[in-house]
Amino acid sequence: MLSIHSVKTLALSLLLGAVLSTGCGATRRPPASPARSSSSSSTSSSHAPAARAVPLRAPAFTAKQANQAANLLRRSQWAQAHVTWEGRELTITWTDGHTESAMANVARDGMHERRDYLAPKTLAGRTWLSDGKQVRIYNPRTKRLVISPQGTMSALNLPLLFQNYQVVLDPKTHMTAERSCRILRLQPRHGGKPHRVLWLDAATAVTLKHERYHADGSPASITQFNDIKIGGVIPSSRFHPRFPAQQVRRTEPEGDERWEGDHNTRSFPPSRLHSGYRVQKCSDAPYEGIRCAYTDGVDLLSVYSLPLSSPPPALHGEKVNLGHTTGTARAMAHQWAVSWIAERRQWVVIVDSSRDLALQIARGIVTR
Amino acid sequence: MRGPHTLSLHSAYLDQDLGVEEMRHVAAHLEVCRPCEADLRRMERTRALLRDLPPPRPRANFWEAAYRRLEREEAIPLPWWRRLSMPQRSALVLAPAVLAMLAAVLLSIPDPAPQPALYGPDHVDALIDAHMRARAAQPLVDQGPVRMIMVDARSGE
Repeated sequence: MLSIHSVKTLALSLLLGAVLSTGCGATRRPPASPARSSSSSSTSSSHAPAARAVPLRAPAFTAKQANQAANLLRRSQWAQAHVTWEGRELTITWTDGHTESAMANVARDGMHERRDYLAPKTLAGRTWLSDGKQVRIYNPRTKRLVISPQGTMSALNLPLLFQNYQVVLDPKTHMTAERSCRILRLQPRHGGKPHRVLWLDAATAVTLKHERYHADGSPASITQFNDIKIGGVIPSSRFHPRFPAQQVRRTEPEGDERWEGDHNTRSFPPSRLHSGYRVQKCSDAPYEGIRCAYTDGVDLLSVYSLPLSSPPPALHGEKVNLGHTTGTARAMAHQWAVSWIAERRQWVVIVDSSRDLALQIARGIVTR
Repeated sequence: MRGPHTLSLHSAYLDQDLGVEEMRHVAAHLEVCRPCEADLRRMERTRALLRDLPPPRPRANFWEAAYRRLEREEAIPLPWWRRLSMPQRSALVLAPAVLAMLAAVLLSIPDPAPQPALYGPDHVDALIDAHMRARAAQPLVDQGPVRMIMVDARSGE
């Protein structure tokens, strides 16, 4: 028996399938998986979000194309902070066979961003606001306002990105959200990592659609605009609403940033990890710990090193062998976390992609 | 010398329980006082009569009846406290006192500190929250799912 949530998901999938079929139909897309083929359009060139992506082979990737791709990526990051737009965004995620979807009206002007969620019912009515420094999330049902610091946007590390990904720019332009767009495919050079397809507005480089696929080709998430208006003026009041909050909760800001030189100590995570990840920054973490953020140019993972608490923590999850020691692995919402205890510290690796990648990273730290 | 009558001393005189002077006094008085002498003679005759009487003998079933009565009395159970031996009676008295002292000692000992938990929390939930915040500031990351998860997790309660 179908639940309401399943029906909504199916409806959203059909909607997205219809958008895909009317959008960039000429784009090379992987074949639909049998499990979800019923929700996709009958057009062979269009696919439902659950379609399995076949790793793309790019036989001719010239220096000119690389320059074009790099320029497009740079423009995309610049657009994120400078181009004004508003539209309706659809997000679908897949986790362990469970599908979640959300629809929101999104407006962005410089560093200001506002999202008003329309669906699902559990999120409808909630507002996300950001001024680039802090995030405010308001739930009208509980009249609760949560204020959190927002991390500083990191600079795009193109050399690292090209080192870890094969970037393929589709030479043709396509259509999505009734706008002409360019398609960039980011194929990881290391196994076990997700690959991405970016649909960037041809004129402004605003990201119109972002697809993420697991290493095995199964979809992880898709974010796309059904309709979008780029340019124009958005009233400032939209980014500064007054909430009749009855309860305000503030979360702790992130701690001081630490230098990479601290990596000489064993208690600090290494500066380089498996699969091409390099440390982006290290900072004080909750529980008197250290958090190091690693990036491969696109993807982000976190490694935490906490002093052992008293009593020592109970590590929940599936027992896993990490080489010199054992740990636990568990999926939390959309992340995989691997924990273990070594050198009188608790270590936690958190990745957004797969269990295998989390284990690879953890083993690399244990056996360094 | 006649003097007062010595009637009250006659019984002791016959038993020779008086002192030498009293014996002489009573003897001298009896020689001159006829009533007292007559009283002494009556007393001597009575005593002689009693001495000549046969000794009293018990009834024929006296001893049998006496034994039966004793047996009946032995058959009646004694109260429990009378059946206890002396050490047992001592223990009976001392036991409550010892228990009271023990209770006082136990009550005076402070409660042991609560046993600490064997394991603490692993904080992974909070760490994932911090990871999501960092991910929201990463270029080229699809922000839709990140925002969706954060909105759901932070304002959901």
